Amino acid sequence: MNTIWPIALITFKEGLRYRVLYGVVVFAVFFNVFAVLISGFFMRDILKITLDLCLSVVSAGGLLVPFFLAVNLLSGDIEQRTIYTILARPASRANYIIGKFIGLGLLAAMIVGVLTCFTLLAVWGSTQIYPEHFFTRLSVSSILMSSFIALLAILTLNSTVVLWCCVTTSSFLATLLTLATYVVGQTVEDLVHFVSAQLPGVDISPTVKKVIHVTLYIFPNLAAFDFKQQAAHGLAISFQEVSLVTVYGFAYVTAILIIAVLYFNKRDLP
Amino acid sequence: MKAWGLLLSFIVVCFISFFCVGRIYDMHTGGEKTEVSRLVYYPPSLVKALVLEFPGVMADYLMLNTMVWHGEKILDKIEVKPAEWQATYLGVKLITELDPRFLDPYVLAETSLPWEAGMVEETNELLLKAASVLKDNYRPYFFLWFNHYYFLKDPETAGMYLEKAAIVPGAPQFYKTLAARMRLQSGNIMSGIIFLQEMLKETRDAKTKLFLQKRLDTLRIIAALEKHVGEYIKQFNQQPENLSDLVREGLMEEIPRDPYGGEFYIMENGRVYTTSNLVQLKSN
Repeated sequence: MNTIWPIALITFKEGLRYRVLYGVVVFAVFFNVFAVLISGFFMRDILKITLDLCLSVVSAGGLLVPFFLAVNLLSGDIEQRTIYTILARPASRANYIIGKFIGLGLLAAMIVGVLTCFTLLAVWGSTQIYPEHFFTRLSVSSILMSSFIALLAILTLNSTVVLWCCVTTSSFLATLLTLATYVVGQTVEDLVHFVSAQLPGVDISPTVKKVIHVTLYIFPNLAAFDFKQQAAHGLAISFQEVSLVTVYGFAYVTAILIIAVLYFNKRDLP
Repeated sequence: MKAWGLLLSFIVVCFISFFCVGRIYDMHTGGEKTEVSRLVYYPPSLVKALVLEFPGVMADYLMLNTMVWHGEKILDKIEVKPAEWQATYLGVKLITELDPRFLDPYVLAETSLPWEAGMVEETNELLLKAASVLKDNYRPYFFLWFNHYYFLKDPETAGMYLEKAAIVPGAPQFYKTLAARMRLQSGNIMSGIIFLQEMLKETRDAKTKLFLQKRLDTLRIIAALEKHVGEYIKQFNQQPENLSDLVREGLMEEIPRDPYGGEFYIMENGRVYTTSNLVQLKSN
């Protein structure tokens, strides 16, 4: 257990070495300034436009961890055989997996935190430029809640990256599988709605319906973690929904990490 | 020597680049302008799936695209073809599917589609969607009132929507008495003036303001002309044959010019209207 934190910290520090992180910060600053300026082109929904763009940057910036850093930090360890240095110490394979996941989580939390601060700064900038009545619906708590849930979504996706990196030997394949998981996770709920609706002229076979329903339970339902629109419109995000999504996120992550640990324990390392 | 050569090359390529940018800009300014995104022709459910977790940003982009396109048409006084109005309607429909609480597209639809393209039913369909999601906003019901009163000539349904608008928190106080007052008015020009005044109060965009102000000015002229026609009838116990009768009898100094380039005339029922149909005529 006491080896988890050192691994997590090493992963976090190693992640900080990637210059792409600083690129994200530059991109976020540029995009947030753009959001403040472009929102002035709209008639009424200035706050909504600013938040739509800034909160999308929070999500997109956070996705950098599962798509780029996580694969490099996990598969890289195996491909470059640096994993032996860690496992040679009294660290179990399970601790290695959990430590890596926590380290990646810390990186994601840092990115989401910084980008959320930029979002709040952009909103403050907008309030200085545009008339006050456009910001009557501003809800800082909804913005913070939306970012927190976005972080949970990234953690959920991180857990699947950990699993894919344990299962495959190629970092390219792991990236592809992560991308597929992300796309399926974002669309599966809509697909279930579509096949469940009795649309005239649309005949879907029962097998396809079943497969799509099963997919909803197997893949992470990432669309459930999206509260950007509520925050952009200044709507209160219900505590019940947030609690349910949080519990779902933690349960899913735990389940996936258990599978990853079980698989990794049995895996022959090159 | 090598450094000088490099610097010279740098200056030359910069010059070429600036020249090309200027020419490309001029070419685009003089030729075909912005087009409505082709995405509007795809089923909203497909677009919604394709944009993953960013439907808000896509809605913003499509709205900006539609607004720029619309603004260019207004500024350049270009006639919008029926197919283009259909594209605008599909655009608004798609935007409001991606983000149903986005108010701007509903306002754009209300200020253009029924007036310019006669798409009242389609606009009402969009507004009913707006009313179902924007429960704390009185504007969708206000717009529905206006469409039913002004375009569909259905004061009963209009009154129902105005009552609904009046009970939404933040609605102007006068809505409560407006429905009754409107029935006493001789026509629906007054409803148009009130509607446009309300819209202008909340509009920041210069192009849209220009568009609404022109329409408001025209309706005010029509209201003034109808008032003078009423005075003429009182004095002479008959309707004037044409508007020049008002000038001849000294009720007016001259017949005002239609900002849209048409000519005002008296209809058989004594109401005044214009040959422009409140749509910009090409020659103006």
